[in-house]
Amino acid sequence: MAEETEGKNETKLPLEGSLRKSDQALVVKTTPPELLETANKLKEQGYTTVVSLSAVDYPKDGKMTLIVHVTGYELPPGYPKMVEIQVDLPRENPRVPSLINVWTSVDFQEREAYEMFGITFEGHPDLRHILLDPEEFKDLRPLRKDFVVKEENIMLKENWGDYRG
Amino acid sequence: MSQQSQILTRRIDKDILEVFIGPQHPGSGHMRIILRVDGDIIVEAEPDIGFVHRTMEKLAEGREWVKNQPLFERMAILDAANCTLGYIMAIEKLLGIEPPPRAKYIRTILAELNRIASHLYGMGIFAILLGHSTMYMWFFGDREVFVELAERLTGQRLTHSFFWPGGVRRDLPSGFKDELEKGIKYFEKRLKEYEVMFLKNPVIRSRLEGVGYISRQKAAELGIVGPNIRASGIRHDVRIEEPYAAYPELDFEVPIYKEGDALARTLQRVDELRESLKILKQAVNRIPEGPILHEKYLKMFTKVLKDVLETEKRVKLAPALFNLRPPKGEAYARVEAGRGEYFYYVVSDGQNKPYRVRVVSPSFRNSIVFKYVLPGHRVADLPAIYGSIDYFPPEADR
Amino acid sequence: MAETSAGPRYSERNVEERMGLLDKAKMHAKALSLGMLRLARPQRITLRYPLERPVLSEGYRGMIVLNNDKCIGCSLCARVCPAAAMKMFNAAPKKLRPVINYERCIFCGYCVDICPVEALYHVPVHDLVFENRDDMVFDLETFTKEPEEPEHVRKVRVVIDEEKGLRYVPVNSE
Ligand code: SF4
Ligand code: SF4
Repeated sequence: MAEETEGKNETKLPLEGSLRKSDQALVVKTTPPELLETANKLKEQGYTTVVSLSAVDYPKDGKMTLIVHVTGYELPPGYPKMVEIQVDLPRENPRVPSLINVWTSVDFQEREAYEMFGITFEGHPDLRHILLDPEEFKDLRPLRKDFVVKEENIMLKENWGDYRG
Repeated sequence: MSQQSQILTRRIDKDILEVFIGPQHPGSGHMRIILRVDGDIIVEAEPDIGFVHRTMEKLAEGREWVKNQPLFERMAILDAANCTLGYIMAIEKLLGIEPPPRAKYIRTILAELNRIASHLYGMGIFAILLGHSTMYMWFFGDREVFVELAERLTGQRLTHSFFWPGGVRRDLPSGFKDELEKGIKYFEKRLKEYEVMFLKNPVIRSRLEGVGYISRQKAAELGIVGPNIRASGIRHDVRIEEPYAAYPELDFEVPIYKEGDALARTLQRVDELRESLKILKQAVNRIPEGPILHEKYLKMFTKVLKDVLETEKRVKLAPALFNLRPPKGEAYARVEAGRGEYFYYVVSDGQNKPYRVRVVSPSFRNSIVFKYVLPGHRVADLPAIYGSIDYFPPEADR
Repeated sequence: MAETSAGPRYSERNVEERMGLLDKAKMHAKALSLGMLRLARPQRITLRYPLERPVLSEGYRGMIVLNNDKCIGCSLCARVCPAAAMKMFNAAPKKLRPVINYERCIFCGYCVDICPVEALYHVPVHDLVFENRDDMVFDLETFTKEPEEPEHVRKVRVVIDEEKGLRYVPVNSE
């Protein structure tokens, strides 16, 4: 996995994690069974809102990483502005508990991660497609690496033909 | 006071009707909201977003880093600078570089021009949704001034694609300061007319006051952003929380309203317009001299490229910028755009294309409002709430 | 709002105060009289397009022209094009040249900015009408010729004005 989480957690936030050099986000690694606990701890500390919930697919390592970015408003000084929760999941049938009871703001984002990566969020009351057509993308997971979008060649072969439009 | 507009409803299945609002194009993009109504009271609302979805995050994985700028700009072309700046800043964080001061000021100027244009656009749509077509024309007409200014600076009216990692593409054109100051003077006068015609107009006021109330706690819970969250009393503006560009050096206020209704959100936008003018005035006056691209890349310029930079003040795309290979790693960046916070998270595996780009747009985060705030309101209040959120479908769908 | 401490900061405001306590009748009257004023002295910025067209600002990213003699056939322009609007073809053996498809071009100007020998440049013409889609696909001949605007077009210069917002001044007003 392409990540170098150098730097200890020097912030005032009492949570195990490491501070990333590039952007000063606090990276917290956890596992599916412990995810809810981590989330609740963060919420107690004032991290009220999920900015982004998504995943990164690593077929070479045979895993997928769920990535949740959490922030809070008017945080005490010395707290990191952004906390990044990383959860490694298997690529086959990935399942995690839904965060919706901790943070309402994940509602649509979990639905998006479900349709884009096929991650099942256990306990989400309304887990279905949101942006994509549910029929067409029943089994397709567009943001997984095995879904390839071909870019056109830069050479013009005879005519624009199929390239029209 | 404001909460009183919420009407308690009991859910009686046999009396519930399902109403489809859309798919249609209410002036800003295709959307649909599915309502369940009891009489004319909304009991359940389900925003059905995604009509203009383009899977940009996937497309971005197949293109070189800088090539994604025109792509992401198509989320919200009315706010093109703000919505691509986050992406460029994330790349800069990966590269570990900062643009030179002059470039930062130019970025700020364009960002504020875009913020004004975007607010005016949003309020124009809002006005027409309320049936106030005069204001619709005024807002759109006055927006033209700022679009024109942006055109002089960037070379395009809307799709500016104006940033290079480590700098900007053009320097300020000659005479820009004068023109900008004229535009600002004109707009300051117009703002006063807006007050009379729109904001303090009793008809508008009664359409908005107490409608679409979002409490402070609910706003945080739903994770809404931008003027909407500030109108609910939460102090959150990325320009202050995580300062970028030239903002930390400028003197301006970010208004906060506590009322949380559609009227507060409207005032919020108008007050922000005023602050944007203040920022612009300071920025053109304080802009320092100097290069507009990071020296690391300037050093690699060939003679032709240097000539163009000197004579035309145009930064050409050096091959080093095109074949950018940021070191392995991740970085996030966020930017306060007109409609709220843009969040970018980029993952690089050291190649010339991003491994993954995650983008969360303000409208996507605001779309949750329809689901959680609409219930309890009358159907007739829907346009007022929809407009006051400044929802922009192509941005939400990405 | 009077204080002038430096730096960005939050400022709490209040709707009631902001709106003031003017009574409804007065506000209606004010809005009406402003409306009447603008009826008498309108704030029009509409341009009689397409008969009148603005002179595009200096450095406008308009249509793109190839200077065939300068081009070295390096293909960078086609590689950088984010819309795949520019593609290379063999103009002669070992002589690659780009052509453009205006059905796709988004006028980002990347191709112009990457060309190492300045063989591509923008012309201050943007809106041309094509009679069919095939005409929008340029070949080497059309791509190397500067497009011109139709004759009936009256050009106006856009001036930013303190009073009117935008003002249009006819170019070479006879
Ligand atoms: S302007 Fe942009 S889209 Fe058009 S041909 Fe050049 S690179 Fe391609
Ligand atoms: S980049 Fe310039 S020199 Fe290279 S092929 Fe394109 S037009 Fe010719």
